[in-house]
Amino acid sequence: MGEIELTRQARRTREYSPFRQAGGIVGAALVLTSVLALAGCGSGDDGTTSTADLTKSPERPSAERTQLAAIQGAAARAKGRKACEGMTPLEVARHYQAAAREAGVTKRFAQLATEPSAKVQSSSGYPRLAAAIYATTTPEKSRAAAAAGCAEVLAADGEGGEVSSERTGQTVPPSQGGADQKGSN
Amino acid sequence: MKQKFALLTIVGALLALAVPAVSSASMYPAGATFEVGSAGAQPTLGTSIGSCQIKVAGTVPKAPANEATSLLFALTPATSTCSSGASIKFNGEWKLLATNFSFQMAASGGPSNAVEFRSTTLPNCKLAGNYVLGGLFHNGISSPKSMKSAMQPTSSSSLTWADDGGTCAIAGTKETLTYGSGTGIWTVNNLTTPATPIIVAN
Repeated sequence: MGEIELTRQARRTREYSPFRQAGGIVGAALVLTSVLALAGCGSGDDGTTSTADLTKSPERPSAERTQLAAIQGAAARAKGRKACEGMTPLEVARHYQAAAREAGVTKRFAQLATEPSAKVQSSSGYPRLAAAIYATTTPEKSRAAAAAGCAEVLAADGEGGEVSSERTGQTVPPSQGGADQKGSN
Repeated sequence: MKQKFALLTIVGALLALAVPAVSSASMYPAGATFEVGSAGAQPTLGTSIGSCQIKVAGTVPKAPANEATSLLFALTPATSTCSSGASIKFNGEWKLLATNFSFQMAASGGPSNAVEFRSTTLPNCKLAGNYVLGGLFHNGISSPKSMKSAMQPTSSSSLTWADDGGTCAIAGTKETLTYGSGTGIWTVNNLTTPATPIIVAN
């Protein structure tokens, strides 16, 4: 902006001065000076900014990243809870089987969850296995949180206890939050 | 049918044991240190729920030990990078068996779980055990142009899911680790004299 203004001034000086040639030289000098000054100021500012950024960078972005990761983790966990809400572990495994296979899960690993032996299905770790199948369909970085959220709600259902409804804030027995809600997914 | 299959399996297993024992092999240059894999094409071991890139380094035995009936020597594996939440731990001894055009990387001995794979996606579970990775060894050349040698894995043994600080629903079941990515070829880099390929000969 300053450069443009100074250029205009230089033009005006050239137009109205009786000593046009001299005016032209003065104008050119002014333009040159302003350009150099602006460049100098610019580089000075840049240097200050860079130094400040370098000083701050080890702290601020790291803290921001941690905060962001925590927010993303909580969101993925909530998404996992919602995705598996109202289903049994077996239903979750079967529901997400096709998507998991597309995501690269081997047929055999998927079968461990979708066609579980009695021992596997009765294991307390089965909800986590079903949740892992679901989690493979989510973005890689948030998989662990998504799996944890899903496993949390499946384990709660499996225990036969009451499941907290996030939408209403009320607690509902598993019988009411069971297979009826399958359609929501 | 089942009996035939069982018989074939036994014969195959016996052949697999016998072939390396009778084959002679030598590896050159003697005493050279090498690393398997290069940036962007590192050995990858994976499961359905995550994968890790590993670095495998070793030193060709010094002469005359580099020319043996059965060339077997120690390797040093290390984890490079893993997919989010995945991790791999090496506890046992890793050895390379080089025979003619093939190789076997075997992790065994020491603690019972030579390789342990974990993923935060499936807590309380670990995939563990001794491990064998086999494949073809492609010799490189130095003239008229330099071309590095390469390992091409073609088979992998399975590890077993086990409890890990809690109950693992699939404890006791086996899973075969996948290997490689892209071309599936792992270059063998000579770190001592980079222009000279590491080769395996009869």
